[in-house]
Amino acid sequence: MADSPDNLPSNNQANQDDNASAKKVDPGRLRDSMSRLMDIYSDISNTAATPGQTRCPYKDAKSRCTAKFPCRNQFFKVVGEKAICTGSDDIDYRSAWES
Amino acid sequence: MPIVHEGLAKEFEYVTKEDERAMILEQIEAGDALMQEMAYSLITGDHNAVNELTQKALGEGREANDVLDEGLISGMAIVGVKFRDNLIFVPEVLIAARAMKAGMAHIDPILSASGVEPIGTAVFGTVKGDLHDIGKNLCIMMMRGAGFVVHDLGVDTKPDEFIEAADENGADLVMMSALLTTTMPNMGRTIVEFEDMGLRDEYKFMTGGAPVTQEFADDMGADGYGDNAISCVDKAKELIAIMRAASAG
Repeated sequence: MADSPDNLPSNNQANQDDNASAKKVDPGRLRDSMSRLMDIYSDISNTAATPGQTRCPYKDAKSRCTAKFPCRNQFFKVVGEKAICTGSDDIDYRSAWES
Repeated sequence: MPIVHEGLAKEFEYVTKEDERAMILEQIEAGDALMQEMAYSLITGDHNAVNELTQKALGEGREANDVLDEGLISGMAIVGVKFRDNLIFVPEVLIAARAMKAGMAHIDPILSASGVEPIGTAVFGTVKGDLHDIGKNLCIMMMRGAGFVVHDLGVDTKPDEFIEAADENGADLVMMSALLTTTMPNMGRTIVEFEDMGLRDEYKFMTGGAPVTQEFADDMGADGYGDNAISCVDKAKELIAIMRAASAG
């Protein structure tokens, strides 16, 4: 999704005939449904957040740093090549970033 | 109706925990073949199909509650299980979320017409100079699931684009995301532009993104900060409650 974000039918564009079902909405059941949907989304969010808590998003598959800004975890072994990330995955990497 | 859709039957096999299987199966079996096709289309991220099938289902007189539970949520439940079990990854989840949005575009007006109002309205973009949007899109998915109307402004959103979108959509919240330390300051610059236009007090401003911290958000003059999608929704609800209380008083 997303560089061009809301290119889907908007609520206003949705078929007006949909409103024919308006009388049939059960608010109690709707609350249960939305609660269940939030549970699903919360699980997804937690799963997505877990690797981000330990692995810097700028670290590539070969543990080289792709950041365009200074970081204390960067070690330039070979001049002109990408820095090696010396950060530990046990600590929060963000404190090493230097903006 | 038992699962008759071949593709959905295969997708359902990825759900291995007994309690999850029972819960999801109950929802699927409460529906018919059309709902199964809708669930499958959502899982595979076919937003055009979900759009058409939702419209068709409602047009044929199915209840919005049924379409939501048996078609859309049952599909998203399988997406959640597959993501947790590393069978799919964030892009696939976001594509499914886009399909969910296509279906909800038909459900939301029904909810509004029956007195179920959205919690609030937000405009949400990644700030100028920054092209990262996975975190933003996860937050938007969560916000919509929580009952917010969210207008996605995409990436590289300039301050005047935030201002225009907030005004056009009657937003309560202006939400900004950044992944880069180099673009984070553009959150503050965006708020300053609102101030310069005399619009600072019209909206609540929220910031988030991997490098953003509560301290940084405070320095930028933001009203709220979310360090993940869940806290983002909680904070957005809190800010809306403050706005409503202020306008009522």
